[in-house]
Amino acid sequence: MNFLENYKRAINNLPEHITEAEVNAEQKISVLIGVSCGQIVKTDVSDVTSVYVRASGDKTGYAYTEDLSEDPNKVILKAYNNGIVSDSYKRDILNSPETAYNSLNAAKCAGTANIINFSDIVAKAMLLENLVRSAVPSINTAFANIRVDTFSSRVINSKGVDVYFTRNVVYAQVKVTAEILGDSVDAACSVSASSIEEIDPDSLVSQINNILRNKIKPGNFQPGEYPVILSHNVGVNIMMTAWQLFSGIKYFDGSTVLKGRLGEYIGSSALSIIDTPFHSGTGYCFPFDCEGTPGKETILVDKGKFTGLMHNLSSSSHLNAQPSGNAGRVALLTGNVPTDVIVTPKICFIQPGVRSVEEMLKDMGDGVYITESYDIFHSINIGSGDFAIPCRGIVIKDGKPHHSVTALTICGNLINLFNNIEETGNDLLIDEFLLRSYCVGSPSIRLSKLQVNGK
Amino acid sequence: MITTNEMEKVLQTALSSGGDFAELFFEDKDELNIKCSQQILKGITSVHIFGAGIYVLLGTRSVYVYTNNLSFSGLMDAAKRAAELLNACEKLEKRRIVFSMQPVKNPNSVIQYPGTVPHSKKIEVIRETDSAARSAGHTIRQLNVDYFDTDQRILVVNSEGLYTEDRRVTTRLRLQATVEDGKTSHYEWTDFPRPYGFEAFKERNDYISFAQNFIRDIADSMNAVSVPSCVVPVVLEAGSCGVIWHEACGHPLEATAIAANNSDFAGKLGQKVASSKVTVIDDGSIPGLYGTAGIDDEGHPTQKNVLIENGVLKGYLCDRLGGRKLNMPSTGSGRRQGYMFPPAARMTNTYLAPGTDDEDEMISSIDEGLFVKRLGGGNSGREFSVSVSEGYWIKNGKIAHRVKGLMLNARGIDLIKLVDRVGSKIKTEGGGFCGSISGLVTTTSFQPRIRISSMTVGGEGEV
Repeated sequence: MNFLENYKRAINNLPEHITEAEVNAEQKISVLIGVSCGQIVKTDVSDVTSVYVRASGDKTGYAYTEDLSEDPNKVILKAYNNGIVSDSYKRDILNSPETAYNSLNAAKCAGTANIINFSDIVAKAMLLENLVRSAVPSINTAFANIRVDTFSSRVINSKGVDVYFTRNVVYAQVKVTAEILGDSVDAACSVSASSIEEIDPDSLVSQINNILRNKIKPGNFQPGEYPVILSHNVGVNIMMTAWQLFSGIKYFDGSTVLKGRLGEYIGSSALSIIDTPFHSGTGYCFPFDCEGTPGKETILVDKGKFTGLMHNLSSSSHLNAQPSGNAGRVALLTGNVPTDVIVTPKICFIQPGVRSVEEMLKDMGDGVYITESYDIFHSINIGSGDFAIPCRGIVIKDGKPHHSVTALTICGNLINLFNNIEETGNDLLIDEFLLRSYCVGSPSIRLSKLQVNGK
Repeated sequence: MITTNEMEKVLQTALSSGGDFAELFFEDKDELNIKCSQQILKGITSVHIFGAGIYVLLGTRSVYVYTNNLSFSGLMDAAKRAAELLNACEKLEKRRIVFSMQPVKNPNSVIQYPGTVPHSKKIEVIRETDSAARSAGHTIRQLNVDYFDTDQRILVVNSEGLYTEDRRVTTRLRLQATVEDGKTSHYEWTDFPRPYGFEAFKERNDYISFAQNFIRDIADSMNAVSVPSCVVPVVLEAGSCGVIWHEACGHPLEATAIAANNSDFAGKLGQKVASSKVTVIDDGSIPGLYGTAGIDDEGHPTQKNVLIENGVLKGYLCDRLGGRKLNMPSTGSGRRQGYMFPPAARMTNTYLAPGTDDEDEMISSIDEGLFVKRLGGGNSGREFSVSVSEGYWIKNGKIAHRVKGLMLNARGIDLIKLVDRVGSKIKTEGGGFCGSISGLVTTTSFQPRIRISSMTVGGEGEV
């Protein structure tokens, strides 16, 4: 990112009317290899750098460019001019060298990203696809992806902050279509790590086999309230929307069902939710955010008590709290390039328990095991907490799988769901989310009761 | 921008290791975002997206390399990388590529390009919209009104000599609100999307009434009641309820799903797959719709594609690569969010053709059932789901009360066999975004009023 030296010069020589400026440059280098039937069928390679600029006089304006040949002075001026019409009564807060990330003082440093050879990626993708194809019975098609992302971020501002980090994330995904009981069924699973060696093909094959084992003979279903176990990927799907409950910005503007409830009990003692910059269950790490604030671990829910919020500089200032390194840009779906500095998670997950899902199923006796859910974006209302999530599952009788049911809907309110948690499993799953900008995670979750609809 | 001679060299380099087709896709896009939260204009962001993708095919193998270094040397480096990655055979002899300009007229004509309109005019629209929402007569806890405009210029050149351009302009308001009634609160968002320039806001009453109706609808939805889970006939209103076709059979008819064999429609061309009342069409060339463009993102002119005709499966949606895999021609469906995505077969404007059934009879003939006035977003696969944004219970042939917490959820290929009424009055809709393998693309989905003979519906209500 050599072009940033020009931005640094421009920031150090701002015209008089521009009092502060900040540049955050993010470079994403990505290699993806897709293999099917023992052959490479897809190769995507990219190298893109995005430049986010904010400039302030009395107020702050913003600009974004991917044209690295643009004159930095003009981009900064464009941002400044955009701020003139703002109604904000003050400019954005910027970090100083004292408050920003400092790799020397940081407890963990994620400043290294080793070069990964193209041939190693190909070899791993070939191995994975071959293993899946030969190990999974009744398979029709298998597709294995290995993607290596090298992400670099640098934040420079006129207060003297200049911080940089780079990381590798290796992401492996397997998709299969198999013929089971005369029906075509699909299964997919994925894992991320910080190096290609850490990707364990056997573990992915085992996950695919587990998913396919759940595709047992179908049967009828009587709608009603049941003891339920949500599989870890259903928990992850819920967390992909539910993390917004803990956004400092949303808490401040009162747009969530948790408005005003900080410090109260919002769930059972089996529920703890944490947001952290590092976790051994994923290759992702977030040493600092897009404002340069160091990533801190925050306990959002502690044994059912709502104890914390995720903050960027603005929301922490509004709520008189400490920023937690949660400044990000990618919210849920939008048709435009996300440029606003909002609050997003780092690695936000439900704390796992100690028992396996098999043990929990055995203890449940009769109930429903919800194995898959489909809709991330439209099934949970953060304002009311109401949800209606399309899913499929297995009817459990005497602790054993009895028959499968499709086209189910689980319905209720998130706060009731939190309060009905009896136990969480030991199978924490952490998955990347939108534009690979953050992660959410969940173990399997055992609920005393949940409304399940279907036929 | 590099010259045509340089483009030829880049394509030749991309083909140098044995590729049989190469394409250069250039994107130069300006966006403007204006954010207003709680009546405070928070900020304006200018966005400049600028990059190119190099796409190389050899049979059904693909390599895609993209970069935002658009200098000749930057693109040559990317082309060399693409050739290395394909690495099919020994170096081939360069062949001349003679470009032929293919002029294209985008069916959506623009009167006032957003870049020519001062910020103050756009802010005025935001203020008016915000005021209108607040005057709707309900308690608003939180309201954001955001304005977006986009002006995307694309250029596609390929090794077959194609040289073609398109310019796509959109404007959009996004409203997000939390309404409360003293007991509970409810959050919703909605878009006011238009495939036009700033002239989209010429008729003030359009966006004013849109904002007021949005707030009134949230407040109204808070009085809705849950229904018990049951199997009943479902009537889906004309207009945006067409999203059910997008999810139930649109995605499964895209070449990506068919070629990977994870669609229930694979291998069923020419077979009866739906009720005889069902004719489904995808057409990216209809003027005035959000999913319309002059060309797809591979330079192929958009066209009308009949997918299902009178219940018989007639075709799939194909991009160039998907077409190769299925041994079919492109249907002008190769789409992508931008240069950061290789093209894939995607829908444009998907609709159910009108039938001959009486709209009123569809409801009056039902003792107990569900009337869906608006559907929200959805999700697709062999099984699909769509959320019900506005639904009413039908009792004794009449609309009774509003219902909440519903999700329509079924196997697509089963559901479309159960359509027993298709009305004669088709109605289009504003449109939105569809997110899939090649990013977010603009689409519309619409239909006349229809009836599904039976579906499982239900929420938390007592059985």
